[in-house]
Amino acid sequence: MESGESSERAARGRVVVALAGNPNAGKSTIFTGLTGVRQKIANYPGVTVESREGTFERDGRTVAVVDLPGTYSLTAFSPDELVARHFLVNRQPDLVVDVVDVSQLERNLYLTVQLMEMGVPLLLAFNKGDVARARGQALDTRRLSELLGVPIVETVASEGRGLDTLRDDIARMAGVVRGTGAVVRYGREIEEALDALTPLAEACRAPDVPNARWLAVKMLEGDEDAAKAIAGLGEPAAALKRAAAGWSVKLSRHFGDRTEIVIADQRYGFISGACQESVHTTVEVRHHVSDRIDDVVTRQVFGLPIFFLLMFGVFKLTFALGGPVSEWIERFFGWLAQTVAAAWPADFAAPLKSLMLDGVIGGVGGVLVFLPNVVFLFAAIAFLEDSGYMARGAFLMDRFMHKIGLHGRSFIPAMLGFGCTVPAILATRTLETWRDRMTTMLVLPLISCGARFPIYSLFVAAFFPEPWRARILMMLYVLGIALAAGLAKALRSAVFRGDASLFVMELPPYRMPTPRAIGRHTWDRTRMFLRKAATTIVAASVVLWALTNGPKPDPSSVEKLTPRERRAAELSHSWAGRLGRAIEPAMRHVGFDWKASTALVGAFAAKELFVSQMSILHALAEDEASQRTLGQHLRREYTPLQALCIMVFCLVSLPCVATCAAVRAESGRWRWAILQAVGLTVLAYLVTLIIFQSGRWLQWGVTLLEGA
Amino acid sequence: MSEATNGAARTADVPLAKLGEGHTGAVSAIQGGRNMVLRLAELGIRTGSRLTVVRGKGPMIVSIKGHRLVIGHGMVNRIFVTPDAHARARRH
Repeated sequence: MESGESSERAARGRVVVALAGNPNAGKSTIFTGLTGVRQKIANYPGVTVESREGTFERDGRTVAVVDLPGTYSLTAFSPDELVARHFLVNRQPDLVVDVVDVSQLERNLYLTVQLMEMGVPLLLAFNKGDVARARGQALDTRRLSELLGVPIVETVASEGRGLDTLRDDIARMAGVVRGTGAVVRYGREIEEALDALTPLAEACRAPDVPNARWLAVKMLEGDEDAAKAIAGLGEPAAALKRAAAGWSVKLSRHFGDRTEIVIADQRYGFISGACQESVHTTVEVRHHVSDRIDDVVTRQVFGLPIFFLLMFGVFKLTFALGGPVSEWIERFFGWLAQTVAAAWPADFAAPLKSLMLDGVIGGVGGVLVFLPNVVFLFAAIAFLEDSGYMARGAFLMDRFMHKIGLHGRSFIPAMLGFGCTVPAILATRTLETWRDRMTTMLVLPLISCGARFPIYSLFVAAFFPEPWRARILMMLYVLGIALAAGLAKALRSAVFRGDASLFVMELPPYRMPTPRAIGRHTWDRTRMFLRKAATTIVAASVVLWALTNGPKPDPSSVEKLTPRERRAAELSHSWAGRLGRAIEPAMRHVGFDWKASTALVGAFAAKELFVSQMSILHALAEDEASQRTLGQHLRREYTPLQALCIMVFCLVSLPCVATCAAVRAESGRWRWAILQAVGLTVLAYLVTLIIFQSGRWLQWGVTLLEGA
Repeated sequence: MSEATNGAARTADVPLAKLGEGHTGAVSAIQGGRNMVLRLAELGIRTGSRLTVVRGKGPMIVSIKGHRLVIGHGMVNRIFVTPDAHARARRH
């Protein structure tokens, strides 16, 4: 492997080590054990995904450890696998540490063998030896290391054992060891083909190709990503492709099976051979605690009630714990606004003061108020994920998800969607086919995210006495889920047609998640939410403030009005007011007046801004700022039916800017983000049109409702 | 080649979906595209693998070499297994 970049780094006393391994092999635990708290999120050029990076010092050198996504192979099926593969080839780490779960040795070595074939400098961290021993497996590590031609360090990461040796070995090997030189032998017939193809592959030098033998194997396997990597090379690539296709036909005839499957079998053959010589199984221990739990929770009869009870518990806990913290935050921003207002010099830059108070502090405060709910929800989801339960949930939901053309795995992004749509969209990366990813991504905004909640709570509290409140809230969440299901079904049968896709997923053994791991997962997702608050929402608040404050009407026309009337006239004259009035003729049919229409403009920046927009709009007109008085004020201006329509429209229409940007980034095209935004808005209009018009016809909610 | 048979299904073979909870069998054939076969292979399921059905008729949970996998609705009818003799005897 040529490593100009890597030797340059090594000379500077800094080496880069990549951590690879199967999901659930203990990679994250090893990463945290190696680097401690010195971590950051790094963006690598050419790699759209964020990789976690941490460092440690050893023998005067800085070792940067990059945590790659957990993958079962490097076949480039899912975006995660592509990221891992491209990082290894393009960034040329000085050492790759492959974390192997010894209790699932053969399956884990499948990835190891692919790393060996890439010719990367490799060190194996054999983790979970304690679990393997408990299952009655005895492993001769030295023998296996000889057979594979790769050094092995034993670790029990969950107890921190072996990490110091691992650090030593990393520091000793990184930047010094070149490739492993280890070769996987494929048997006479395939080797014959590889002997013929390798010279042709030598002529195809491309940045995404680690070595000629690897390319020869990949071309024989019919690997599309490898073919793409050399596509621009012209004749040599075409010659290799032709030859590989010829050999592939010959081999599949010989073996009576497809060439790539024969190759996969040979890889397993190589692994089995090595394992037979080094692993001794004494007793098979059955009925682990994990299996006993599964006996109960995966049974439909018990499983589904347990599942729904857990989900209910998660939401209950989220709001019970988040509520008090939200109040503190609300009080803090109230105090901040007062302090700033008091400290502001009189007669100094009045518009700036208004921008600070109403725009920035009001806008950001409005978002951060429900940060506690989001944090608690993410923490609860991280707990369910890390404990292993989420995979069981996906199994239970597969039956239902299958009916709408998705499979159980899409359920995890959907769960995250209740917190914030942006991390949910990023979580679709675990879905393998493009069809599944796109379908899931396009319907995700219909899952009521945390940002919708302030809108619901404002209108529900203001317009609906008990016992309506819980029902209306429930109905909104259910409506979102039902629309998402319907839309997914429609998309799968009209746009993203095709077979029910592949759904194979590991059920990891249950384990008690560490507070540290939960903290990290929660923080990762919260960070995306906070970044949205810090960037998109601040910017949007400023833009909106400008839209609502300019242009001013001609002074002579408002001269004779009272200050209150003048404010109303100014707002109605502003850009936002004009925009609101412009769409009002259409929006009137779904229950919106120009103020609510104007606030919708703000909701595009971020859903939660709808509330602060309404408060700004009404505060500007009425001089009343607090939420409670806003609710009272709204009661005078709208009917319960209108309130319901406003909530439904906010639920369905136009995903926020951050969501659009995430869809654009993940789908690679603006087209999908725009299509989604337009499509959902049309859907919102149709749904609210039906509700508003039939509500009026039925005379429901046209006057204030009486409490029970 | 979008569809292919990995190994030939024999008459005694049944789709995994029909194996029944608690029964064990050896995979005899996988009917599916390249992606399906390779995806199963990297999780340890290939021709000859022995697996036991833990749960389910739609999506299934199977146990293979001490670890557990969920196999989705669409795939369980495309994986064929030769049921173990004693398992069959117990069934009838």
